[in-house]
Amino acid sequence: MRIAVLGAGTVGTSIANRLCSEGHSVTLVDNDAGICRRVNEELDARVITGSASHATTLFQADVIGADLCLAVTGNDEANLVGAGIAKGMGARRAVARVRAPVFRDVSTFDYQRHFGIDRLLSLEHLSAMELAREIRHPGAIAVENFARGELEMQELAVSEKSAVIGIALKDLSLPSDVRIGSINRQGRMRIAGAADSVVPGDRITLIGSRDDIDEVRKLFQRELPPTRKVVIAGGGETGFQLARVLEAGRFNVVVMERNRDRCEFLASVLKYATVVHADVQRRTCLEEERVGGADVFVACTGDDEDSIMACVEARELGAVTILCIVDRPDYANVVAKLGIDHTVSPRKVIARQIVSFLNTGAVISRMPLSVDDKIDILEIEVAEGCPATQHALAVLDLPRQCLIGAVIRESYVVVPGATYRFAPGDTVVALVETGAIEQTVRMFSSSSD
Amino acid sequence: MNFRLLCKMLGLIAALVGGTMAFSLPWALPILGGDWTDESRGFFGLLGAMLICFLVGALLSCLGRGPQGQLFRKEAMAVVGLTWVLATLLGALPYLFSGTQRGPGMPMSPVDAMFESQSGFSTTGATVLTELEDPSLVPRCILFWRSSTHFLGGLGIIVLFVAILGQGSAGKALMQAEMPGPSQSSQQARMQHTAWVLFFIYAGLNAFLTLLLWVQGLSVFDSLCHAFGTMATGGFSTYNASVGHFQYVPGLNGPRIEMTIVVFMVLAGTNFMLLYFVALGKLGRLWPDVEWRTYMLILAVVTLLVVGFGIHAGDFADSTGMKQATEAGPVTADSQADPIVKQSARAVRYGLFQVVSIMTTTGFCTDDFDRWNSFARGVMLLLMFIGACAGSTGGGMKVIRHILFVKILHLELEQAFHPSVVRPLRLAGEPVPEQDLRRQILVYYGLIMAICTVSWLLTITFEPDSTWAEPGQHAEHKLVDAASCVAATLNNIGPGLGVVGATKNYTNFQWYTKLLFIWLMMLGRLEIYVILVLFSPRFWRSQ
Repeated sequence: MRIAVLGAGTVGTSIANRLCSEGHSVTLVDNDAGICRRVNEELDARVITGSASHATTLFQADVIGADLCLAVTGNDEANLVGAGIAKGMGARRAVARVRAPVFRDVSTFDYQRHFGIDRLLSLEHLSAMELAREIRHPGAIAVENFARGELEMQELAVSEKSAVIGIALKDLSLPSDVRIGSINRQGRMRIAGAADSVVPGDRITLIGSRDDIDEVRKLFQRELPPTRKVVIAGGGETGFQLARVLEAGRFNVVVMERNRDRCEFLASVLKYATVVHADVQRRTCLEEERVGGADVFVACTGDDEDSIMACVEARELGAVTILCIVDRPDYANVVAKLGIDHTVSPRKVIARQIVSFLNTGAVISRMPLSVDDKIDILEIEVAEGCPATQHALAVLDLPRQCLIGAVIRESYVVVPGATYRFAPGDTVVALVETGAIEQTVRMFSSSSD
Repeated sequence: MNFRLLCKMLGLIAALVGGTMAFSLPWALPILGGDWTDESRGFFGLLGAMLICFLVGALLSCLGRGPQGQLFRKEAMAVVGLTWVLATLLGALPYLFSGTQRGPGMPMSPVDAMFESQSGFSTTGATVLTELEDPSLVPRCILFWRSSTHFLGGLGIIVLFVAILGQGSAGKALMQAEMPGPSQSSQQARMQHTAWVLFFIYAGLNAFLTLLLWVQGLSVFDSLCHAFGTMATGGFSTYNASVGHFQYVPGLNGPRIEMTIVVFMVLAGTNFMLLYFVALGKLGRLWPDVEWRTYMLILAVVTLLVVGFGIHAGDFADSTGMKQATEAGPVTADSQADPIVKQSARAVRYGLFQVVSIMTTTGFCTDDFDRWNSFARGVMLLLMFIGACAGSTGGGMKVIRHILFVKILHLELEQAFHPSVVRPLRLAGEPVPEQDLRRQILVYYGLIMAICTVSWLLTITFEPDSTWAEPGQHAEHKLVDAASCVAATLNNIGPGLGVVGATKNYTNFQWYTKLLFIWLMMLGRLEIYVILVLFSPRFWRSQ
């Protein structure tokens, strides 16, 4: 595939490197001639010097007709403009990296739609989500929120005392906006059908808005999980996003940050988390904040060495689970020996996202739902005149191993009911078992494809 | 200090005060029910006072001619502080010139006149006049002037000034100096528009209440005066028994009039910006407002307490009300205790009215709460310090300050044992942006305590025992009564306990104590700083 990568920084080069090694044809764009020269020597890619937001540069980079354009410079605005222009010029898919949360917040303005970009990705947000998933449901499904973050997927185990055991799913009175995605029984995961029922010990996934899910969760799980204490070392963007996600749930969140002004900011934005002005490199600070009594310790100081050292101290003090953001691949082997339970690498996280965009036809992105790759989450564009637009959802000839989780129409996310009728331009989010992908995609592609 | 600008502004204020006096003139005329033999003195007294106002205004304007320069924070504070001093002095003139008497054979001294004037402007409602119902002692036109000082002072003289004249950025500085409380800002970009909005709400509510009272059978004169007293949270009435008078007038529905006034007192104690949203139809803005919610909650809880303890102690056992002390109506000899249902109804009616009246710092009375049980009296004394919402016409320390104070204490306590925690001051979940607010609130509390303590000591030290008790009796309640005087004037309420109770007044105090009370009323109305800085020498220096 032909791929244009705007910005040859750490993220850009590492993605380009991976794409090159997979045999794609990559063009890199950066405005620093020195960097360009160096990258040109390192990678088997075309390198162009120029600004990512200038149409002339993009034209030179052959964006017209490219399969994918990734805007990953260090500047949010340049990324938005660059990806927007690329899409306008005719790139099939455009993805932009943004750092500030405001760009991804659709409640005030829908930047993604306005610029015609297929996805806005935030490295920090993705890392935080990965950490949050690891803290909430270790070992569970790989994707927690989709449809632009408006919907969430949560996995839960059905408890012994649940009132719904043995009742067919179609007979449960669930709120209309919650779907049961999959059932995992004795290690075998499959898409839930209307006639299925759950037995104790099943792990099911729920799809819907977080509030609705919490409501439905009570049906399957009688007892609420105990409140856990999470200490986040480092209040940078990742730490902030993580605290924001966790503080809404049953977590006692403490954020430690050494910059006073940043503390003030965090304290004003985080409603329930406790923000502490302390240096995580100092043992006394960790002791004073009772890190030893924490259930989870997360280090995301922005510096690998600092984070790792803080983790070692926390392990020494007695924290139960230790998580760490480690970006340098060199450390991958040692961290496990140091007693760190899980590391998250932002580079790997974003690479996984990028890879999901390497598709053809109607598919926008494709991500494995779980580690064993049996079920994928697909984002599919509804094409003009495709079979799916002919009838209402209930009558459509979709495979049984496919579940439509959500539809994004214009800026709104809806969970489609039986009478829902797809329209060209909709984006469908579907859970599909691997074997049925081809059949599903065919439903949404126009006949000429 | 830019004295030229100061003089020009004050000149305009003098003219404004003089102009307002004109509205009191018609009430002296026989057409509107005035008895000319009594009213002529008042009429000419008012005319004389107007003349002096305009002369002073002209003089100050002359002094303020020439290039003006910019109005800074300092000048704004000076203008506001001196405006209130000037208004007090000028507002006292009609009482003096008309020969108004405190009681039979008791002429008003200049200090008495200033006390009455300041009590009106600061919307306190404390009075030195013992006999309001005799036009030969207090002419009707003077009575009307007395109530219209409430109208002027209720929203703040400066707000009216800015509403009429604008003054651009100067108007903004002036309004902020006059209403310094931690309050919601308005949606209007221009300060003159804000002033208009405030004024229209204020005037509209005044007009509406006047109409409601008039429909219920009060005369136009009484309706207007009581509307002014209610909406400004003032408390000047035209009867000795205050609003309690109406329950003894045959043909009037006492409870209904009282409840009408209760509703409008509650409105007057609400932030006017909230009322603005309500007027726009956004009723939903009311309840999420923490201050308003707390304000209503305090009203409800205190009323319940007063009613409950009152019934238990038998405070509402008979229907004497304000009668015994004031002899305003025909005393019926029902010494027999009424059945409990009737008692309860009476308790709710009187309890609610007094609690709302004290908390909103109005000071109207329908029952002599000084005769209630000790618990209820104590609660009423504490209630004086709570006050209404910020941005309302009410006085006191304002509910929002108490809310913030409790939150700040909470935060400071945590800081004591866990200094590295960073936690912002939050109001309804939203962080309060001003970093200085913590310090300001604590300083305000400190100032109030210091001022109260010192004033209380001064009062009990210098005021002779004869003020506190009948001749020959021991002044046993002196300490509490003196404290209530200070609380009632500093918080702009009016009636206190004991010698200044609901049926009593401030006429017997010595002139120096009255001066102290005048100062306290001014401090309370302008939330301390603007008046205190006037006493700082550094404030007046040029550099």
